[in-house]
Amino acid sequence: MTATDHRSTKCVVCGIGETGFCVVRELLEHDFIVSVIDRDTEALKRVQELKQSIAVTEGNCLLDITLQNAGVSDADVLYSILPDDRSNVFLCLSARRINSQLTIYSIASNPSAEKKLELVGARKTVNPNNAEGFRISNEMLRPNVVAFLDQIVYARKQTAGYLSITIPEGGPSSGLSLSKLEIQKMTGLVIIAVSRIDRSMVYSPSGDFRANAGDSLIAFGTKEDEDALRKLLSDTPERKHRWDGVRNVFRSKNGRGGRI
Amino acid sequence: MFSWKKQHRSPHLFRKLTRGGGFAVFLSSKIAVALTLFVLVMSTGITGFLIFASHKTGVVKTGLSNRLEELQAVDIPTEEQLFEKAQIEMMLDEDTFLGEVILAGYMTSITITTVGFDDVVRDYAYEFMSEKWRRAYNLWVTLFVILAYMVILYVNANFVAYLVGSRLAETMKRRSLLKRISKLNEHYIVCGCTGTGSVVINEFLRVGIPVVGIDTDDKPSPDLRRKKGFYYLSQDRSDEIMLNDAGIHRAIGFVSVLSDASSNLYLTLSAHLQNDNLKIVSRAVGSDSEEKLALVGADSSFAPSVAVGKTLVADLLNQDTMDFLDRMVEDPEHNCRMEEYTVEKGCSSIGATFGELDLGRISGVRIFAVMKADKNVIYNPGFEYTLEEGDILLTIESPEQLQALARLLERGKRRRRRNRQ
Repeated sequence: MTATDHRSTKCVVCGIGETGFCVVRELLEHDFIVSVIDRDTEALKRVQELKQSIAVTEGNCLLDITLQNAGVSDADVLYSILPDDRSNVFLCLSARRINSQLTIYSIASNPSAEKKLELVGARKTVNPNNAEGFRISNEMLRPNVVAFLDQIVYARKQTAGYLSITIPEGGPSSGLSLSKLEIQKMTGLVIIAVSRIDRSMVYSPSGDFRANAGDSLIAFGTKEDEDALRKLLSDTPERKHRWDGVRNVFRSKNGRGGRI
Repeated sequence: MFSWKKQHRSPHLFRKLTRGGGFAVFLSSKIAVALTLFVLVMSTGITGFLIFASHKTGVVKTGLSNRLEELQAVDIPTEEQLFEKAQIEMMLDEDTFLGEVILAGYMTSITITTVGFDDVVRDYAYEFMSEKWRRAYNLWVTLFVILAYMVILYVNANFVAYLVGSRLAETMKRRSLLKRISKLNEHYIVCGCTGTGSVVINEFLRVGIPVVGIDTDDKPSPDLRRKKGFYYLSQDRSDEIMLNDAGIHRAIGFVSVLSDASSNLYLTLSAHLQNDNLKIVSRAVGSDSEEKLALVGADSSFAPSVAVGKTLVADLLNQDTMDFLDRMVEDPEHNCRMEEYTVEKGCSSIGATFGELDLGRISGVRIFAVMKADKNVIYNPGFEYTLEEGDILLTIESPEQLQALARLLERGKRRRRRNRQ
């Protein structure tokens, strides 16, 4: 994982309340191009104090014309942060119609609204209560995990990060147990979870967990680690030979009803 | 005194009686009026019946002394007459006042409780009484019975309302609750039990930490109240007493997520004053709340909007990681979180390598990173990594696995010794 350049990502933030303001500030900190829509001139002035070059559009963001004026049609990301769920759903739907490539984020105060928002095209919804609650409990119970995640998520130059490598179809590695793959020995990576092909998860898989083709191995590591793991999982002649040997041993043992 | 509690709650008998200064309030309550009326009607009844009973005694005594005179006039009395004379003399000598009072009390109580009307006066002395006294007696009984009936209805209604209104039951419940809370140790106190508060409480309960919840007006959901390890105190006393009831001296953490800025500030201050070892996280509402909260002793505080904003932008910055974490939190099958374990001073595993401890095989623990004491992160520590004091092990575990890991690391040295032999 390398630091991504956000300077070409265009974000539109609809609704500048307390939360909207925080989103804008956070986005500016990471060099996104930000454009905001709100009805309130005061709020827009407050945003412009953060950075002069922010494009502001005064108007009702439930109207298509306002969205078009704010440049939603060529934006990459839209934040829908209106106070009530119904407006958020409406806004998501109109924005999706204007630009089908848009990534939409929204807040949803009601769990039932979350599903509706995702149905009309929001990539992710955030429940304010959950966001705050998890933050507080994490701060209390596991402050170092918070620090670690902040380092991973917010760092400008990421040295290590989240890795997810899918086991290739028909490769030699599929169907083998994790301890036989010798991932930790060969690449140094610790597999923290496996995302199964049916989207179910296995956390902290044990050594005798057998990963099949299509499953994704999840770890935290550097780009080099990722390459090493990918290489390990795909075909290399002498390892393939070795694994075949291992597999034959399993088969014979299996034939006699032995335990692997 | 500033107080954020709900004002004008109806007075609580037990509490009002047991708290200084509350007696005047108690007197104004309905149950006090009922009690006063009851005492009044009892004393009226006793006085009235006493008058008639003494009159009756007087009448009876006059009759008896007449008979005695008759008997004394007989020259040669028979044995029966002598016996009757002795009996009458004995009865005349008796001091009957106490007996009359008790009799009057008995008459009053059987009358007003409508148990029955045993007319002692009518049965034994009616024929001796003059017409004037008979009328007076009948009139008085009529009036008194009606009055007594009305009063007893009022008293009954209020007393039943008091019981049904479960003031008494509530007092008992609260007492047992306080008793259970007083046994808690190293628990967390959360002010505000709905919305954000309920998310926080659930996260604490998940890892098995008991929580005492306090809330002003909103009650926590029934689901939450049923959970093991959660104790809910409704806010109806002053803040200091409330926090004391919640066991603030034995608590290790305090969270205040009320919607009102001044309440948060005040509670944070009260909590900090009562226990300065407490870890306090507080919600900052409005501008410069954070500075004020830090001033009164909050370890950390943030506005709700900041948490939401950070979450929204974090996803844009690092979709994969956030998706992974969200899926972990929402997963109904697994109860896993990214967890940390700090290797504290004196832990017997210090100096051992991961290979020696063999954590993975025994508890299914996979440590994917170690945060050193200086916050530098070592990713994917290998088998040869040696544990040091202050290391923070990062792992993805369920609460049970985390406990297993803690047990394993604590007895680390003993295992190693056995291995060497």
